[in-house]
Amino acid sequence: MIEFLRRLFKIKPQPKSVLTPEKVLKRKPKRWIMNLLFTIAMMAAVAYSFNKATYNEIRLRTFDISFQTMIRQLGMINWDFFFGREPWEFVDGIVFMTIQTLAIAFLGTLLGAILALPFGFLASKNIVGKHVAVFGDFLLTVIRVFPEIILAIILVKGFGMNAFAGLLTIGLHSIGMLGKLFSETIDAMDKSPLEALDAVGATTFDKIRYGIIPQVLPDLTSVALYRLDINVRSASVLGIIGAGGLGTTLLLAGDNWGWDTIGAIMIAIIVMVVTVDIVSSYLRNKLI
Amino acid sequence: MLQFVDVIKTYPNGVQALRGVNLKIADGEFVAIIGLSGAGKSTLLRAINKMIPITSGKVEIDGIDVSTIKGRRLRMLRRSIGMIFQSFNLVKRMSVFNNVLMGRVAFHSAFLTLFGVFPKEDKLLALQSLDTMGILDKAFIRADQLSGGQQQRVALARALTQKPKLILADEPVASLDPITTVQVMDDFARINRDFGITIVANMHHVDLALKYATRIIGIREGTVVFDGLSSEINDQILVDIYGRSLKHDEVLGE
Repeated sequence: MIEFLRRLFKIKPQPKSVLTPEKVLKRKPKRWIMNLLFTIAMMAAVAYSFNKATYNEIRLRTFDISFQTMIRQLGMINWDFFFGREPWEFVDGIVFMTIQTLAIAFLGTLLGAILALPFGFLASKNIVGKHVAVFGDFLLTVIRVFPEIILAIILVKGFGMNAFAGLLTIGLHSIGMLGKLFSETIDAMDKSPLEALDAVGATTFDKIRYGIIPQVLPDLTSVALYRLDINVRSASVLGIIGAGGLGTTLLLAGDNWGWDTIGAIMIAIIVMVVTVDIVSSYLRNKLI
Repeated sequence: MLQFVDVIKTYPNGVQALRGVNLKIADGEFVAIIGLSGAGKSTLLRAINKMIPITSGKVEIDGIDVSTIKGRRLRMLRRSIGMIFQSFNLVKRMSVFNNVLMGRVAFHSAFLTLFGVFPKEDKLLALQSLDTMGILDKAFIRADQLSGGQQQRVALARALTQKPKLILADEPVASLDPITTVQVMDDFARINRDFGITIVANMHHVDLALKYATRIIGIREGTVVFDGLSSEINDQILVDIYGRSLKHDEVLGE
């Protein structure tokens, strides 16, 4: 098929004397039709999306009113709430919830990284060969396709409205990206020690333990730390579905129009995300 | 004793790397294999420990037909053969000591090696090998901190730790500078002499091969065109091997 297309579009060789720059210019592939079609399609998509995504009049007005209230009240940060006065009986204040969010993200990432390891090997051409790697890659794609929120909804149904459901969501969802990046790291590494290990009579298992792990561990850790960054953000959002952490507090505050509480939560989220970001980039720089 | 009987290797892409090779190498010999790039030197060397499986014929080591064994028996054979590579093939992020200890991996169960547990004798053996190579002081430095010559010595120490009967070396000095080259070749000669380990090495530099090896095997297009003592080599034989005589500036010089 490719050969056929190549022959179809191939410029026929002509005697050199006949070929002039002007003639070559005329043979320049005509792209304008494709360009025009693409532009039209793009504009149509923009127009359609804009139509569907903008607020209608009624919604806009409601939003306007609450927006003013929100901005005014967001400034009045509820500092009392920070260390827990138990405004609702099942919430112990923002500091506690922040720690819980970090714990969910950390354990979730760790779980994800550990689970991603076998998937990474399964999707690596270096380890399992080309054909199995295609299958492993497909598995990882399937895992990645599942949106985090959907996963969280299912797991909250299964394990109840608690942090464990959040932890599991983050762990399972991290496998997709971590496994993929792990397999790429393993494929990109220096393969020569594996040859040496073969020559000393090592088993596949020994090769993984002594030829691959020591080489890729710093890179894998770095990837996992990057994922931790992402997961801290996820963990704060997942609470909205009831999977523990700051999100749950945010949800309850939002339901009760407690803008001052939301302001406090936002500050906590900003501080937490920025801190984790700084710490993880520092560690990643140290690793590589 | 190492023996090749009518060994033929044809790669899947149709390249005939070995076209009926017959060889006998006795214990304790220092053999250099010379020839152009692509003549089949690497294939010949790797056929010995089945890093490359041969198409037909027989490779025998002490009566064991290498071409038919696999799995555990193949690993048992490989662990008794040291191998040295052009690019050293160390795990660069690991310490020198751990790299040398890799020579013992095939001697133990998966369970112990999983946790990185090696018997004390093995650790001592690894350090003794480093001592033999004169780099004992580098034991706990990361391998990538060492110079090329030192890394090749680590690789040699790794091979020695296997307590091998035979060491295969694939272009062991091709990525080293001339002075380090001489040092590493001296190490090979010492190992051959002191431990009686057979050495089969692929060499680019003809004069190095002549100086260190007792026996030269010349290969051209997958066939052995010369097999004899290094003292028998003359210009006509080099023409047979390389297709033309070597110019003065193509040898390393003294």
